[in-house]
Amino acid sequence: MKTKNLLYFLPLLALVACEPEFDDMNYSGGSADFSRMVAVGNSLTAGYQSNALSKSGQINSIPNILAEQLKNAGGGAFKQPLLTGKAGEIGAGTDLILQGKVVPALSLTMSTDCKGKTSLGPKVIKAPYLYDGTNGFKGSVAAAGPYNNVGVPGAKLTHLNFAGYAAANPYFARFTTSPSQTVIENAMMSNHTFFTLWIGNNDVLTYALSGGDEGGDNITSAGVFTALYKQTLDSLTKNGQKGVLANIPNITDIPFFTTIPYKGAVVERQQDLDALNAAYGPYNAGLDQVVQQNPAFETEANLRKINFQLGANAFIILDNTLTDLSGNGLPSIRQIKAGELITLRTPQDSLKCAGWGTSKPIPGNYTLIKSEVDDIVNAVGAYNNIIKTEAQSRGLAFVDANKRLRELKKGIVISGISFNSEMVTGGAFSLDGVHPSNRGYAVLANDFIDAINSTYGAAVPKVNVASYSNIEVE
Amino acid sequence: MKKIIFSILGIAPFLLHAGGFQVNLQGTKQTGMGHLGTGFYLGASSAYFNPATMGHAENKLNVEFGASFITAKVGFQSQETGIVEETDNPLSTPFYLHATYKINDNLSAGLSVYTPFGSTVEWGDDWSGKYLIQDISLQAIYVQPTLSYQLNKKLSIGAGFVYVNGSVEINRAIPAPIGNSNTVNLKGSTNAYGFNAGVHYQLTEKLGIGVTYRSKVDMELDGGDVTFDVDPRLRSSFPNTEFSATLPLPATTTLGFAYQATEKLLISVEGSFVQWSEYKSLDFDFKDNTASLKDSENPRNYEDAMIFRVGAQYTTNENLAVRLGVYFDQSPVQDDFFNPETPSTDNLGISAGFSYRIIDKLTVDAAFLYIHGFERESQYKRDNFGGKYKVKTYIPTLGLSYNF
Repeated sequence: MKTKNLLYFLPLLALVACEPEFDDMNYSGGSADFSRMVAVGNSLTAGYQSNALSKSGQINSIPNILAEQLKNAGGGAFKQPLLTGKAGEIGAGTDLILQGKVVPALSLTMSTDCKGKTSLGPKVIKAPYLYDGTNGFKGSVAAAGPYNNVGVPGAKLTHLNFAGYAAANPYFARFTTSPSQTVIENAMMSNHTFFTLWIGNNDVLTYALSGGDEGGDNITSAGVFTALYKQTLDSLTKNGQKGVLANIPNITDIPFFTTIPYKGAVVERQQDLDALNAAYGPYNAGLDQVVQQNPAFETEANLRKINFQLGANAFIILDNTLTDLSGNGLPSIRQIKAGELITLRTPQDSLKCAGWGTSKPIPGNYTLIKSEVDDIVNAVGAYNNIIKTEAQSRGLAFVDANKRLRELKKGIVISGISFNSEMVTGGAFSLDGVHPSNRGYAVLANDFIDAINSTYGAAVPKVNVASYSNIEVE
Repeated sequence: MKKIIFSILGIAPFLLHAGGFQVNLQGTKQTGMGHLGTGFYLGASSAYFNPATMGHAENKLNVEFGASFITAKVGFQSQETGIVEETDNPLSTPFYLHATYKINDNLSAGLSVYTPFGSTVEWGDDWSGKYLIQDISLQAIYVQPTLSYQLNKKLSIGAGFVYVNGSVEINRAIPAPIGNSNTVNLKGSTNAYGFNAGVHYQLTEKLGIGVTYRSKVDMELDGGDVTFDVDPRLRSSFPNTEFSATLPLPATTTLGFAYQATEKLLISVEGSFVQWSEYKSLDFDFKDNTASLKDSENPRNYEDAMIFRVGAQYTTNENLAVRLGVYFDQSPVQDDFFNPETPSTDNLGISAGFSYRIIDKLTVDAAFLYIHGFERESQYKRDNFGGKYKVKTYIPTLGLSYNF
């Protein structure tokens, strides 16, 4: 009797034995053919992070992430000119390349500043190594090409079609097949069916990073940009290839320019305050004298007068656009204004202990004054108009990286992880404050996938941002 | 360099008492019938199902005890990445013990111990939702002394006092931008009180009606331990501390009818109204706050939910009764507030069971309950995490009844 009744349970057991299952996702390339993709661009395409290119950074590059996902939708192999040896392991940066040395990537580490205060921050803690054939950076890997990732750190749009660029750029020199080959010619060797192009950042960023006009680098004009951008796209779409373009983020919002506040000169003690104001008394009085001789100078004089209060004060900067009053013994200095920027390249110890910004002005190659910021913002706006127009008229997918950075500034949340545009703590930028972190690149790779899916009717899966690793303290 | 500051987003809530996960297993007999028992007497476990019916027992002393063996699998499929993940929940074994005693013809007393929340959800340390929840386990023991009074031949009432001892443990990853294995463990226990009351009325010889009300229980947890396992450089941002939090277990009102169709066949239907809308937010108050460790508010915004049950019992002879049941249990969780720590779907429960008298006073009860959690596509919008969820639960349950 009992046994017979147990039989009633058998159908139930069959029903429950299986696990929860879902319908399979159906992936496709839509109207795009991903079988041979080539990625053209600068450091952001190469996978540069924390002031260097490394093998792990290359593997975490946007096009490599993208290519892996495209394999679900007809994508083929994606070959990168991976760094090897020491360069691959600890990274290759070019700050000391003229001295024949390679600088490794920044590390996040505890260090003690000039005031004896210990804190966590980015620092090069590994020894620079020789730029020679033994360390995996110098020496051609072109024989193993052609490569699908033609991202060249440092490259401007103006460099892409420049024969002989390899002589000026060790990253490109590694995989160009001849000294005279252009970056675009190299890219065309893959006989690509699909491409990514994210270029133009350095056409304004290099100027900005070096402090604007004092840095010796120029912003590419909108006219030149238009012509070269079209020329580049004409090459890449020669056989009707489809692709994806990305625009230029507002570079003045990256941590490199926002981490040091303009009101960073903190005066805590009355005696320090009195000493500072006394020291600038003659300068202010000198300006008043100039006004007496020339009343029209009053506006500039008011701009230039220096006055400290207890608490946070605007740093003092050198501003070569001010009227030269060296004949009166007056330096071209003033306090920096809101909206003007101090770069992360400014030596921190000089700010903290050597009186930079208080008893001495911060040199102009560490600052962006209003006219420079305006030039940068205007250039980014002009480039982005061109990029968007070209994307629309050629029917190419378009990634609005500019919008992404604006959202990041306010803060975004993905899978429970909060990101913002703060240095280190924001999670999206690597330690140089310019390039994304692993997760930042993953977020952007998903933006590329979104753009491809919506433009070409494709269904390509995105990546799980949470599975990308964070910076570890060293 | 600015000082390192991280914000700890919402810490996960700590109870699986969702409509979809309130696996009710307070009596093997009732479980076999779709877990209903408000409209009629069905053994000592009626002290839980409707305390008014306790006096309907034929014997003076009735004792029942048993345990269930829950295997629950929750599946997740991200619609963005296509990743499919599944919980690896250990077997959990809630138990019950009910004893009722007829003091005289009108008055009965009872004592129950049961574990309505004995579940564990383990998504794993490295699954895609690890920053919302890695694993959560909950044990809650209810102790309920009960009195029942027969007012007249047709009408009886009953009520019990409920003492709850609950404990919880949660692990989740911390989304700090430095390091890859930062986690927090939250652990605590608390006591709470409530009551369980019922009325039963025999409308006709064949038709009985019952109403029960289980009160809201506020689980107020104080002094829970917060233990961080973080990179040593983050230690000052995340000091080990204590937390307090309150979770409302909602009031449940149930109306049930039981119809003795034939001498051998009993049919019953039931509807429950669960006031889940009490559960608006789960807020954690940390004893020590830092710039990174702020008190955490986590909106839940549950909605009231209904449960409908139908069950039947067929008594073949003095020794054997067989049962079947089915119920539909609505999820109280809205689509934009679906957190994988409480993966609550709309559920269909199908059950079957039997009781077999092995010796004079001793009966073996057995039942099997399968719960099908309907697939839903939902997200915890604030944390921007979601996908399709699906749940399958199967529960064999075994018990013994002793009537003296």
